[in-house]
Amino acid sequence: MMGSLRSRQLVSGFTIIVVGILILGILLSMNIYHRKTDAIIADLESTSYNLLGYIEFNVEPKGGTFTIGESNRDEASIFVSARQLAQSSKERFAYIWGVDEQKIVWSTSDSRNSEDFALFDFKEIAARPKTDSYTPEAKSMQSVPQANSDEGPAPYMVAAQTFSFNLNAESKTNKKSDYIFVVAASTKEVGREISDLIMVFAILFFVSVILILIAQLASSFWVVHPIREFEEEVRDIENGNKGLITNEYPDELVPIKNTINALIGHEKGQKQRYKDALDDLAHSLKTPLAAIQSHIGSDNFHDIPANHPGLAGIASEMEYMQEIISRQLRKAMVTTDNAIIMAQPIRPLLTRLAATMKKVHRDKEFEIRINVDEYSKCRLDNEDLMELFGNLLNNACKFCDKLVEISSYRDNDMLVIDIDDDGMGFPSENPSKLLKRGIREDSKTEGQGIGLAVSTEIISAVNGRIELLVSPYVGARVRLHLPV
Amino acid sequence: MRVLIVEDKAPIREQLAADLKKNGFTVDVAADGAQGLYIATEYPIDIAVVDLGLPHVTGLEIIKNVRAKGLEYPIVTLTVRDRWETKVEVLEAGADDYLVKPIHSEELAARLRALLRRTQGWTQSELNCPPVRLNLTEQRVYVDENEITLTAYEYRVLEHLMMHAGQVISKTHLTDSLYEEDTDRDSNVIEVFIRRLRQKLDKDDTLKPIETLRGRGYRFTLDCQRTINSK
Repeated sequence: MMGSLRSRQLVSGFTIIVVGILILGILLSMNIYHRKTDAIIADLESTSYNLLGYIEFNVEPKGGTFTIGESNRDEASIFVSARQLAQSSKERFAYIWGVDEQKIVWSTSDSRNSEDFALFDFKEIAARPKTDSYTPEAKSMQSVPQANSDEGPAPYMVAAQTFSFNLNAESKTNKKSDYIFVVAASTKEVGREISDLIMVFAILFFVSVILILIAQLASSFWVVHPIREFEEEVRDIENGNKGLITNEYPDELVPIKNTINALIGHEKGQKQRYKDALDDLAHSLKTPLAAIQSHIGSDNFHDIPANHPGLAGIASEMEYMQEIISRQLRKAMVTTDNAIIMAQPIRPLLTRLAATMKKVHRDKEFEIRINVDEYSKCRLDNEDLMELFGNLLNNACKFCDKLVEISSYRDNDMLVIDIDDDGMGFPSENPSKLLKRGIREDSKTEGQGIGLAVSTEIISAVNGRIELLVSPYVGARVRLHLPV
Repeated sequence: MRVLIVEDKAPIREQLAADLKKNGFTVDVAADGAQGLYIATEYPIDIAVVDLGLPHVTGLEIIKNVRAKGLEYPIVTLTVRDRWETKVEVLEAGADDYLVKPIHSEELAARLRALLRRTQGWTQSELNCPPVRLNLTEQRVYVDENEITLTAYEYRVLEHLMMHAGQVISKTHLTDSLYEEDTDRDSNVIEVFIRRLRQKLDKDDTLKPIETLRGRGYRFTLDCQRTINSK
């Protein structure tokens, strides 16, 4: 997965952007939530302050009751309605919970029924450290589900404070009763708003993810495109359609391009140097050998009879040495396997060779037909190609009667070339023997043998194939399968 | 026939020169490319043998220069490089034949003769101008199946005339093709050879095979069969 540049780029970019959007969304929703709840808290706290101002505790008649004082009644009712405390009992409300009685003893609405309000974990509230002064503090709390209701716990913002009152001032019992003053507002709305916001965010998130994905894919195509192109060009070189990397690439790819070109040049140079060194060696050996031979052939040895067995022996050994040199040289030439060979069109080469053949075999009247189009290419070194077709065409011209024909066609990834003549053909028994001749060191060179042997060497060096068949003109057909 | 040998290796050059002389050629030699090019373009040679691996001026350059000057005589190249690449290059440059060293003198002589007669349109190794027949390989001359004995020089003159049958060959040209550069020349010698040839070929003076064109030269007048098929 991480093997490809494009997937790396895609995954990294995608992850960064997605995580970024997620964090942003969370922060934003948290912020909004806090702002909303803070507003509710402030509202609740001030409400509870004001409300407490209106409420009076009456020990009488019995058990202690909470009422709003006569003088404040109108003001209080205006305040209650202004703060919307009496509208829907479960949304916003204020009540006093009698801990001893375990019931609501006072509320902003007319109802004292606990089912009309949301109840909270009063034990927890009562357990809060008591303060002398009233400092309302709103906290978010879950309502406690009531026994005969199927409603689940709901979120509320609650400002609550526990008060203790002496129920009977006169009695010395000092019996105190605990009451919890509760002002609460449902935060269900806030929760819903936040979840709406999250919903919007989620939709935005998915839309942006898709958009980003598209943008990323597009940009990755754009970014990765030169690499693709580069890859294609390298493959072209590998396939032999091109010699060097020539296209313009972004700066990041230029060093690779230069390195590859240098490598190609180096390999070519290496091959050339190798060939030159071999050539020089063969040349420097052949010349003195030729000189020795002409010495022997000349009259310099006039005191020794011309048919002296020693002299004749030396002469024949000389000839043998010459032969070995040329054969080994040819062999070394063709077995240099080079990964980077350009595919050569063979037609121009064949037309050149045909003209040469006409000159070489000028005593003969014959026709060379080249049925090979411009698109027939094969991956062989130019010199090897020349040697290969030179030998095979020479054989064909030598043995033909009136006609030599070269034709080619593509067979999958091979170029098949037939060289036909209308001569006497190959010896019918075991013609493949001809192909092996010449590879053996001591074999003699004559007839078709050496040309075919050299051709076989060239072809096997490039993983091609050679077949000896019968041509439609009844003569010989040499079929070559060459890599394209 | 006058042949130029351009070869920088002395033993090979001398050997070839000696062997070609033995085969009836008049031989000029050059030891390097520059000298070879000079002789090849300035002297009236009939055929050249050029080594490819020459110092300074390469064999290929000599061939190209000779052809660029419009000279048409055949050129045989010698090389150690037995590769079609080289062969094609050399033949395209204008050479006519290609021999890989080591050279066998007999083969070279045969190739030279073949090229010489071919350039004059002869396709066989026997020049047949009835009733005179001249066999190039055996270097023998027949008139109506009777062999005529000729000296080496007489043979060379006749070969030259018959090879260029129908064309006027000047006396200087004949001399040039018989003698090397520095030998003494006596133009009367040619007249002597012509007279002797007439006597030997045409005893009763009815054939008149060689015509004298005063001030211009000689011409072989008999009709010849240059190809097998043309009668």
